[in-house]
Formats: sequence, C-alpha cells, structure tokens
Amino acid sequence: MANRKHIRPKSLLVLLALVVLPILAACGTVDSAQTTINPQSDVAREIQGTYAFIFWVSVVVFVVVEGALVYAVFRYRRRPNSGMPKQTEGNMVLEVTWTIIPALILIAIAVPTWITIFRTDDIPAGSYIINVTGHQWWWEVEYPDVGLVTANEIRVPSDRTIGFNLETEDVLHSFWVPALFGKIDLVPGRTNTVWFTPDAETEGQMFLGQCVEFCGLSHANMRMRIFVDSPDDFAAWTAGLQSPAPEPSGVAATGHELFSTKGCTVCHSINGAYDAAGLFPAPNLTGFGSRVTLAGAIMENNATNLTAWLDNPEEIKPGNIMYKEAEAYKNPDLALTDADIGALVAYLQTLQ
Amino acid sequence: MATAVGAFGGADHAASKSGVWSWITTVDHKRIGILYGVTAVTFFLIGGFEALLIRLQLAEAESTLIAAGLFNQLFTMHALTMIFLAIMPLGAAFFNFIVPLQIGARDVAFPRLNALSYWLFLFGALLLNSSFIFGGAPDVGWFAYANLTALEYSPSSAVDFFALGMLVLGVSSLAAALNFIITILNMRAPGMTLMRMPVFTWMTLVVSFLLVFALPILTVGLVQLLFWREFGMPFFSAEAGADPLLWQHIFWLFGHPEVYILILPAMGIVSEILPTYSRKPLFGYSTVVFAGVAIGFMGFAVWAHHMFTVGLGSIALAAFSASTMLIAVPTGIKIFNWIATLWGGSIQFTTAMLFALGFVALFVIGGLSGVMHASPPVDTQQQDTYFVVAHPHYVLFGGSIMGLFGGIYYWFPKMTGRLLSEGWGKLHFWLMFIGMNVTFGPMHLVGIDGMPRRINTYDESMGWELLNQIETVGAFIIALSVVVFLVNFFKSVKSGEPAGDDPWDGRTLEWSIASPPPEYNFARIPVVHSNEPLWDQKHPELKHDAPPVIAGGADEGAEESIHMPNPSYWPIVVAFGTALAAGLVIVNPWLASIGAVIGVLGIYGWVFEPAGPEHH
Ligand code: HEM
Ligand SMILES: [Cu+2]
Repeated sequence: MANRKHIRPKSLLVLLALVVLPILAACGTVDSAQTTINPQSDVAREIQGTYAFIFWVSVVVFVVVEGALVYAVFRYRRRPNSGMPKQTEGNMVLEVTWTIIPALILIAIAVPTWITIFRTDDIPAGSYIINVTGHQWWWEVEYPDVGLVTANEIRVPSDRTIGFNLETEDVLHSFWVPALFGKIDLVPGRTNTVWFTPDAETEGQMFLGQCVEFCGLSHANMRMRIFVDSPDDFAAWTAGLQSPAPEPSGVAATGHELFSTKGCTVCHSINGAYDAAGLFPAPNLTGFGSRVTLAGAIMENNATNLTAWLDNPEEIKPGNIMYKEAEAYKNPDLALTDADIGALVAYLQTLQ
Repeated sequence: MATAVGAFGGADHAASKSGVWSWITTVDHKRIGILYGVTAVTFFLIGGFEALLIRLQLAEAESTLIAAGLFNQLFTMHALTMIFLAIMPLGAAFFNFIVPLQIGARDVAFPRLNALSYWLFLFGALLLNSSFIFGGAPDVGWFAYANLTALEYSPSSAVDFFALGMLVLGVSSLAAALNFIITILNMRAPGMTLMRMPVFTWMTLVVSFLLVFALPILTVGLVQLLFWREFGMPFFSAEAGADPLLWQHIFWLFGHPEVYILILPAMGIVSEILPTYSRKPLFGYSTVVFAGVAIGFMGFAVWAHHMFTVGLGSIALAAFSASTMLIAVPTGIKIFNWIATLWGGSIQFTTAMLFALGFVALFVIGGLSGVMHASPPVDTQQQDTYFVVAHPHYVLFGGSIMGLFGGIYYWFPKMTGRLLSEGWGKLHFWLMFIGMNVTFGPMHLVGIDGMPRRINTYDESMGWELLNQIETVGAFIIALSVVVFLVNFFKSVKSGEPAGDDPWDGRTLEWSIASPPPEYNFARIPVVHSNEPLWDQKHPELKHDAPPVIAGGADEGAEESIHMPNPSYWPIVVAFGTALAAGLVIVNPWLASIGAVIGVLGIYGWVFEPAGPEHH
C-alpha cells in the first residue's frame, strides 16, 4: 500500500465529460423519429412542461451532489502528512437541513405533477371519439360516428380534440404516440382512455407510435401511425371509405375471387356493411390500397412488401395468427402460387 | 438412522474440513457464505453472457442474429438471473460470512437451516435454468404480467418453470431471512445494543424483515398463477370476471420491497467502507440507520408507481406519486451522510473505496431518473422505454453491483487471509465504471428518443442505431472488467499477499480475529461498548473516556471447550427433494410425490440427527 497513487485532475476531466456529453447529446435528440421531447399537442406539451421542470431541478441537484462528492474526494485525499482526522460523529443541524431541503424540492416537483395529472385525466366533453382495440400484434381502429373500421393507421381531423377508448382483445398492450400523448395500457376487461388536441401546425403530418407493453413474440412488430388531416381531407377520407370500392377487373378480378376461395374472408372483412370492431379477428382491409404501411405499420405498403407478406407472413411477423390459422398456409391444397399472390396483390391495391 | 449417520462419516469432525464432502455437509456460516458467493458470481457470469447476446442483437437495426423467441427468453432470464441468482445471493454471501463476525457470534442461530437455504437456492436456480433445455426458458418478462402468462398465450411450460423456480427460491430466502433476524436479535455479543450494531448488520436486519413480509405476497401470486394454469382457476382472467391487474398489484407489492432488498445490502457495505478508508466514523450513524428502516417501511407503500399507465385513476396516481417522492427523502439523507463521512476525512483510494465512491456517484444518477418517473405524467413518456432500462441499471449495476464488488475487495482478505491485487483491482474498477456508463448512459437518450424496451428489432429509420452500438461496446468493456476481476480473484486466492488480521485499520469486530477466522470465530466472546469497538480499542486517545478493551481474538487453549455444530447432509437431501418435487410438478403432479418423499425422509433424518459430537 506504500506506493498509493492519487487521482490526477485529468481523470476528473474525463469524468466531467462523461456526464456533460450525454446531456448535450440529449439536446440533439429532438429530431429522432419517435422522440418523446418534441410535443405537438396540448397534452404532450403539458407533460413536457412537467418533465422539463423536473429535469432541470434534477440537473441542479446532480451538479451540487456530485460536485460535493468530487470535491470531498479530492480535498480530503490522504496525503503523506495527513494526520488522524477529527472523529466527527454527526451534526443534528446539518442533518435536519438536508432532510428538509430535499423534502421542499420534492414538494416543488409534486405540485406541477398533480396539476398535470388532473388536467390530463378524462376525455373532454365534445371530443371526437375513436375506439381502438389491441390485438397480437396490430391495432383495430373504429370510427363509431361514421361506421368505419380500419387498422394500424389512424387518421384524425386537425380541428378537434381527439379522444380514444382503448380495449384489448387478448393480452396487455400499450398505446403510445409520444409526440401527441403519453402511453396508456390496454387492459383486458377495462376501457382506458387518452386524448389530445393536435397543434395547428401538425396538419398534414404523420406521427409514429408503437405498442410499449410487452405482448408476446412479435411485440416489436406492433407499430402504428397517426395522420393529422385537415378537416376537408378527413371528410374526404371517410367518405371514400364509405363508398363501395370499384369493381376489380383483369388480374385484380382474379385476386378478388382468390380472396374468398383461399379463405381470406374468414378473418378479413372488406367494405360493404359496417363491420363493428371485434367482429373479425383480423384487420379490416377496407381502403387497404390507400394505406401507407402494412402488417402493423412495420413496412411500407408496396407491391414488393405485400408480395413478401403474402408469401410468408411468419417470416415477417413471427407467431402471427394469419400464418397459423389461414387455410392458405395450413392446407397444402390451398397454398398460394406466385401467380395467386400476384393477383391478390393487384386486387388489394385497388382497394382505395 | 444412527447407523446411516455414522456410515457416511458425517460425524467425523476432523475429516470434515476439506474435500467436496465437507462442503456438501458444511453448516459453518463462513463456508456457506463462500458457497453463496461463488454460486452467485457464476450466475452473474451467465446473466452477463445473456446480456451480451441481447446487446449484440440490438447493435444493428433490423438484425436477424437472434430470433424473437430466443431474444424474449434472454431478456427475461437475464433479469431473473441478475436479480434472484446474482445480486440477492451475493448479498446473502456477505450476510453469512460477515454478520456473525460483526456481532461477535460463533455461528448463525440455525446452522443446518442455513445450509438448507443455500441448497434450496442452488437447486431452485438450476430448476429455473433447466427450462432452457426442457422446451424453452420463461419469455414473458421478469415480472410475468398476466394475462400473457395464461395457458392460452403461453402454452409451453416456460411459465411453470418460472413459477416453480421462484417458489423454491422464495423458500430459500424466507428461511435465510428468519435465520438472520433471529441471529441478529439474539446472538449479539454482550454490550452490543441495537444502536451499537454495525450498519451492514443493520441493513441485513432490515432486508431480512423485508423478505419476511414481501416474499409471502409473491408466493401467493405464484400459487395463484400455477392454479390458474394447471387447474383452470381464473384468478387473473377478465373473461371470468377477475382482473389481470391483480397480478400487477401482487407482483409489485412484492417487487418494490424487492428492489430495496437488492440495494440495502450494498448501502450497508458502503457504510462500512467509507468510514474505514476515511478514518472517520460514519457521519450520523443513527440517521443512516433510521433512514434505512424508513426506506424499509415506505417500500411497501409505493408499489403502484410501476403501474402508472394501467389506468389507476387520478387520485391513485396523485397518492402514489407522493409516496414515491417521499421515499427519495431518506434515500437522499443517506447520500448526504456518506458525503459528510468523507468530508474532513483522510481518504485512501483502495479498490474497495473506489467501488464505494462509484456506488455513491452512480446511485445518485439512478435516484434522479427515479424521481423523474415518480411523476406519473412524465412516466407516461418513459415507462417501458429504454429510459426505464437505464434507471434500474444505474441503481442495480451502478448501485448494488458496484457496492457488492466493493464488499468483495473489502472482505476478501478476511475470508481468505490474502489481499486481492490492488493494481488489477483498480483496472477492474475503472473498466467497469467506464463500461457501465458507456452501456447504460446512452440508454437514457435512446429512451427519450422513444425506443421501447423488450423489442428485438427496430427500423433503421428510427435513428436509434448509433446509440445502441455505443451501448454494445460498453457492454463488452464491462465484460472485460469482469475478466480482469476473475484473473485477480484466481491469482490472489492462490498467491495474493498475506493480509494479516486487520489490513485496513478496520473499526468493527470482524477485524479483531484471524484471517481467515477459525471455525469458532471468537475464542472468547467479546464485550462491546460502542458501535466501533475495534477502532476504539486501537485508538483510545480519540475517546474522552477510554473504553475497556474488547476480549476475543486468538486465545490458545480456549478452543478445546468450544462446541460447534456437526456437519450434516440432511439439508441437501431436503433441498433436493423439494426442488425435485417442484420440477416434477411440471411433468406430472403425481410424480412430484417422489420428490416429496425424499424431502420428508430428509426432514425425518434431520430431526433425529444427534446434536452433539458422536462418540463411537
Ligand atoms: C453486462 C452488464 C449488463 C448489460 C449489458 C445489460 C443489458 C440489459 C439490456 C439490454 C436490457 C434490456 C432488455 C430489453 O428490455 O429489451 C436489460 C434489462 C434488465 N437488466 Fe440488465 N444488463 C447488465 C447487467 C445487469 C445487472 C447487473 C442487473 C441486475 C442488477 C440487470 C438487471 C436488469 C433488469 C432488471 C432488466 C429489465 C429486464 C426486463 O425488462 O424484463 N442488468 N439489461
Ligand atoms: Cu404489445
């Protein structure tokens, strides 16, 4: 123990860099695709306000406490001439002080927390209501006022407060689009709610979200998008979905036929009468061709990806029900040929 | 029965001091402590290996290295292993080895029960891990939320392995906890009042009470889970009118005290290390003790902060955020008192001290992120993201693991009579400290970027890849630090510098006896007059009223009259029967009776085993 070494100021600098750099880097993360700190709605901004306050309080506490620690360690390091230190056993005044000060800081944090809790709790009266049902591993989306059911991509009008009623068909899931609102779980036997009013500037924008409660094998593949449409675009979209799809022709007509003969309609519904949410165990494909993504918003909706999906859904989304239950994958007699898949792709793309 | 005992030579005292059989039959708290320690470090390596695989998969966007199913097993088993098979038993290793020495006792209150605890732990751990070969390990996350655990959604026996493995581990911890409560309350040396107990012993007591109150809650939940799966009793299914959230309440009512079970031993260790290497008493001893006790009580009132997003309702959210913030107060007190202990001291940077200082520095970060998600609205943006992977790692890795490594460097000389190399030790510390921050620091950022936890894949366009790559590099730096530790450990066990009885100028009783201590610890039981008896004896000039000398230490001849308990193989028989029964339940409940019979025979043999040395 004789050649004991002292820590040099250089290591202090390294330490400092280790803590300061992440904080600086944090400021650069606002742009990432699913960032939680770039709020675009009233509710998200309210949450962000609370977070920012707590964050800066924490930064101050961090600097003070770590500063005191580092100072003490350097100031009181053992030197060759260090004698026996004074055997201080405590100090009531000091100890009471550092009990009370943190308590006060915590009250300062608690108050805005509570205010935010109560300001964001129930869906405000008059909101535009959308019902969402979680499934392993996709989202069913129902617009009760216009009698529409769709999946994974949620279009909302920009001029309303939007309220979601959330239920699950199977296990726990959690509904989350960080730029617009904080997450809320979907719990069997309950209806949870969440709401937000989009900022005016969000019109025409798309927001990313995904399931954030572990829900089994393909949890990572349960994503979603919210599109904030102008009121006109939104009305046009609902009207489009309500009108019957064009009669398919050519290969698409073949695809249309295959869609029933290969057993797809057992689970998927398209168009026609309003199929209330929960009636079919798979995404309603009305207007599928106009969706931007497919398979739980995990990939772009184009011919290549759609072909890959129909060819082997298990590879794209392990454990999914389509691969397990659909006759086309279970029953060799009904297996899809490349031509079948081509026709189905053509047909599905006509569903505008 | 008596012949059986004789035949296996269990009663032969002299022959029982070396060899595998001596370890199997040992009831010596010090040897049991070493068994716990070695087993826990082994599982730490396994859990770390699982973490490296997780990190390799996540280092690349859309990686296909590890399939989703295996990935889910890995993150579940990683957490279960680190929590229940590494950190908890490493704490138990120190409880076993150190607490009797600190309180001036010759052993724990129930030495054979102590051995049973260890063997149950080992077999429970093996049962849990055997699921990897028998059809797949648990893959539902370490808190196994209902209703993903229902037969319908988890048809394999992975969840049964989880429930039964945890039940066996729970019996082990419960027996150990009761043993330590009774030991600490009844077997302290004369003069050692509660408020003269070393802080590590205090924290052991608090942890033991937490275990006694928290484990039965989990046990109830696990039994319900099994009955649900095996016999269709719908405790958690909404279709039957029950509520899956019941499981979450049960789990976290256990689980939150559990996180204090994981951190308090490390806090106790740090409270021993900081004074020793500052050459000052712990600042505000009684405040630190009361803060520890307060944390123990309050730990039962905050469980719903793990459930801020399930739809609790505003009033419950407000109440649980308040109680959670409240618990930060005693936690803060401890940190301030530790810093005040350093203040004005004469600080020596040994490896143990570096780990203790690292503990304080990193635990502060984990505490602050904890306060952030104590605010329910904020938590709705953080829960189940990597931000909440960063937080438990700052408190459990930065906290518990750093503290426990500090304990290893601090007490290794007492356990083995040799010093760990300080050079290798410091290399270990700096690699681990840097690696830990490189791994878990960026997790805050990627969490704020919205990356969920427990996903095996993410799109490149999310912008998470770089941070994940940095994290993976960090994980390998940690792995390297562990290799350095292992090298140091094996070198030093064989040829480390001899330590002497009191290498660090220690303050508490364990340093007053030989290293390693004789089987009976104290030839004469010491009499204690303060909470730092050895220090006061060594430095009478620092006290106003010179304290009387403590007795103890080597005292030739006294040894002859000390009666120590006999070795016994019945604990391992009982533990084996119990774990076998649990494992066989998975195959067929009727088969389980084989294990039960072995267990009952074991108890029979145990009860009739002669207590005193056998005279042939
Ligand atoms: C080599 C060091 C370690 C690395 C690289 C590491 C890495 C990880 C990663 C990547 C996850 C996230 C898995 C996911 O949710 O997708 C995780 C989760 C976790 N780790 Fe570690 N870890 C390490 C050490 C530890 C230690 C020492 C502990 C215990 C004290 C620990 C406790 C946990 C817990 C409780 C979780 C949450 C598991 C869950 O979500 O089910 N880790 N770790
Ligand atoms: Cu999910």
